[in-house]
Amino acid sequence: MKISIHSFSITIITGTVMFFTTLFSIHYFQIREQTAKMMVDTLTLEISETAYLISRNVISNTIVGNRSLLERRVALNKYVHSATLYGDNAIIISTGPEILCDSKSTIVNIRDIDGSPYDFITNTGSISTEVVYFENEKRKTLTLVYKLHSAHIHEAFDNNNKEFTYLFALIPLGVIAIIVLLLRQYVTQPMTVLRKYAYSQTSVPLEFPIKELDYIRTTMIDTFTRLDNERKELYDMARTDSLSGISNRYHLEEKIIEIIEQASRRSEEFALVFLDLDNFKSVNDSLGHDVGDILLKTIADLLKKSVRANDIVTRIGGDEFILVINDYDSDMHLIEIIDRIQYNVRNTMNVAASESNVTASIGIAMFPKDGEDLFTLMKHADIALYNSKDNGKNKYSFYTDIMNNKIQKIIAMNNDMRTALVLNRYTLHYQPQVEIMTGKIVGCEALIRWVDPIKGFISPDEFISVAEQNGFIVDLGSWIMSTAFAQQYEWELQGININMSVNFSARQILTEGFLESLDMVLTKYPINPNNISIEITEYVFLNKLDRVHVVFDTLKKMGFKISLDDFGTGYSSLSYLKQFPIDIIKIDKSFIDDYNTVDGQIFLETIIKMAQTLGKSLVAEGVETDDQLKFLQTFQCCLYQGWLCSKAVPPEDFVLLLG
Amino acid sequence: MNKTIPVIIAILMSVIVYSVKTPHHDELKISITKWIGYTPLFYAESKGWLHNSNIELTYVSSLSENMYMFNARTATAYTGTQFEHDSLKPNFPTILPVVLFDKSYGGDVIMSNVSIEELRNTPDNINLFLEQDSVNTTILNAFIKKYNIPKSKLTYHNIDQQLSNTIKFSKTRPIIIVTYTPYNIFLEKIGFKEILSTKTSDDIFVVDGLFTTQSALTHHREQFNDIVRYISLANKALDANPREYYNTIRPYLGDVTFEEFEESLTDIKILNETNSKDIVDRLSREGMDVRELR
Repeated sequence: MKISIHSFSITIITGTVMFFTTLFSIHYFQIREQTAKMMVDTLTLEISETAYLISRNVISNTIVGNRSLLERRVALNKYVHSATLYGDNAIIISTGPEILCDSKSTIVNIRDIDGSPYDFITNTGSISTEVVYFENEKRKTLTLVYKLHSAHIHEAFDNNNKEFTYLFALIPLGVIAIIVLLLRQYVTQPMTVLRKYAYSQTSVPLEFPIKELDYIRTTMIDTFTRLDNERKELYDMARTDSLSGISNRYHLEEKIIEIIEQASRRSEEFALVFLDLDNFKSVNDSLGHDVGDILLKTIADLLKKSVRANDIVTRIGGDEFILVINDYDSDMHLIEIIDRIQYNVRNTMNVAASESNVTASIGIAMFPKDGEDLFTLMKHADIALYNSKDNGKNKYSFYTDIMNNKIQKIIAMNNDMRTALVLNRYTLHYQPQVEIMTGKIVGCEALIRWVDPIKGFISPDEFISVAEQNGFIVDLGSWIMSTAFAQQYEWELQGININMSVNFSARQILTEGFLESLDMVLTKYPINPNNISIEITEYVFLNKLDRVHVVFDTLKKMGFKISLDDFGTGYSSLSYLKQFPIDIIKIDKSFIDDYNTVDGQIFLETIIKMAQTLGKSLVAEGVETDDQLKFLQTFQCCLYQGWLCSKAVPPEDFVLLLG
Repeated sequence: MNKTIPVIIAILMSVIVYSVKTPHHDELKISITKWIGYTPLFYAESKGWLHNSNIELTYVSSLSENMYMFNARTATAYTGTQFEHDSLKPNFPTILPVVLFDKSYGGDVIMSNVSIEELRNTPDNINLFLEQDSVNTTILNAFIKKYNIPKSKLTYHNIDQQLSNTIKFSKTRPIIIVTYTPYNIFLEKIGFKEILSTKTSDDIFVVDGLFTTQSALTHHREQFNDIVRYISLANKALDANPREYYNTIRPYLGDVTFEEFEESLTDIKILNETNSKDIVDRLSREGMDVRELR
């Protein structure tokens, strides 16, 4: 059971006062009885002594002479009103005439005094005793009566009563009241204020006069202030990305509800922009995580500056950001904002004295068209983002149903690819590489083919990019390498010595253990490495150049040739041709297709002459017409491959082509 | 907290109980005269025994004053003779003796300046001095009856024994004084002679005791038991070393020498712990409640 301080204090004080009042009352009544007993004893002693004196002084004719004695006795004792000496039922002497009217029934003999002295003295009218004297030998008895002065007697006790009441009742009550008021003012009320402050912390209490309470007050203020600050800090921390300092997913989830409600209420739309940095992993791996963190922070700042203050910028993890842009006038305005974002990202300041070449792929989902909740919007924005990535990155895409379907296909593709490997549904076809001037097939490029029992032929364009993105390319590449080397080995055993180009993805080349696995396959199929061209794209130069050096040097030492595929379409620069041991340059089909334009011719001529100057072999890809061939022949360019000669064919058909 | 409240309540109750606690013994007040037979109580008071038992002696000058004190309930018990017992019994029906101090054996005397014969034959009025409201009257009546002295010749003077030293010896006027030890010593010195005493006459039977009511006896039982024990101890002390005993009680006796004290002791027969059966029976026949004496 709990009680308030107020009630407790009142209980204690009241209990204490009642206890002491009880004690004082007991004492008072004891004192009263003692006082009354003293009065009674004094009166009985005095009347007894007076009676004795009279008995000694009495001679029958001098009884009256005792009047002065009686008068003196009455005068000296204020509790005796009057004294009367009776004899033979007649008054002999009386100091007060009114005694004559008294009824003798109120007279109590002193030997019969019994019970409470206070009750006796306050309720008895008179006391009496016998006076024995002798007339000669005759024993005679008189009665001496004292009429008590009840007014004086009551007054004496009344004075005591008043004093007691004043001292032990009124004053204590007054003291109780004062103490209660003081307690209320200086203890209870401040504690109530403190309790309210502890509950709501709305208004800070003012200083208290009681030191201990004020200590509690200041401690509570300090504690709540600290808690408040910590709460805010924790609140902010919970909603802030620790690396970039911008909002995190949690904050986004909180804010998006408000934004959705507001937009719904106002029938407005907003854009949820999913931004993913392109090739960020390469930057992280090549330049280190510290640089990567600085880059992320820089990007975050850029994004903040790229949008308005009431737009949301959050980092949801890794190199992914989500922006909620709800303050734009039109779709064009939104696109301008997106363009500005991509521009700013592209033009990021050098990070750690190295150009980061960071771009952003963006997916955009619109509320309410593309979703009415965060999960749907994010999912659709993610799909759109994927489309941007798929389309070459550094792009932005809006979510549509078509895109959605496309993504779903890609996901299905991903699963089918892996299943196909397990079920051995891949094959390698070989596209001849022909000497331009002689028309002789001198080599081939191993190209992967996939025929799904249900879907039929699936173009490499469809699944290779997916494999590159999801990492399956490593396993697929291993299979390609193993299959191609096996085929080459078979051909070598058959006496067919031709150069085979085998495609390797940058990811595969740079994977730890690649050289070891290559060596294992080579051990299994001891082909002549000089007849193998390791065909890689320019993506390999994006990151880990040190690793590229190591791999390329090892490949060269092993005897392999290195062929640079799709030259001119990716990230290559002339310095790579200088730095790395590139043996063959493969001119991309897009250049061949442009052969009949002025610019196309200039580009082709430039590339061919550069390669020739650098002593690199050349292979022109995608030659499909005689005219293209004739054009190339004018440069006496080395090899071509394309449908002009043959599409990629199964190995047995290729052997026939060698025929 | 659970233990605190019962402890507090226990403390408070103890304080209240202590506040209302009555003394172990109420004071027992005894009205007493300076009679030689009551010296054991003087001895007990001097030794502080009475104080230990919360017993107080109130000294009065006469046996009749004892009755006044007792009647006024100023004293809860008194020392006296059968006379006071008989006088008070009508108003105090339960009055009884608690303990007997002594039997008068010459302690109560009748003295005169003339012989008994002269008293019988004198034509003059005889001045009679006595405490009328005491055993003196009993002794006187026995005397005048025995020696046929007419009351008409007697002029009564009712005085306290302490005032007996105011009596003037007369060679011409016959005087009878009824008194008791030690007041007789002074009277002898001024010429009065003992003509009758409790030693010389079996008709005069005076016993001194401590009297109270039954209710007072019940209320002060322990204290009365202490008194009986103190009297016994005092008597033994007197037997063992009278000089020491005298020195202890001397302030109570006034101007009495050791020899006079020893002589006074011959005027009483001290009644020890075992009371004489004859005395108790005689008192019983006289109407006294003697339960405490057997």
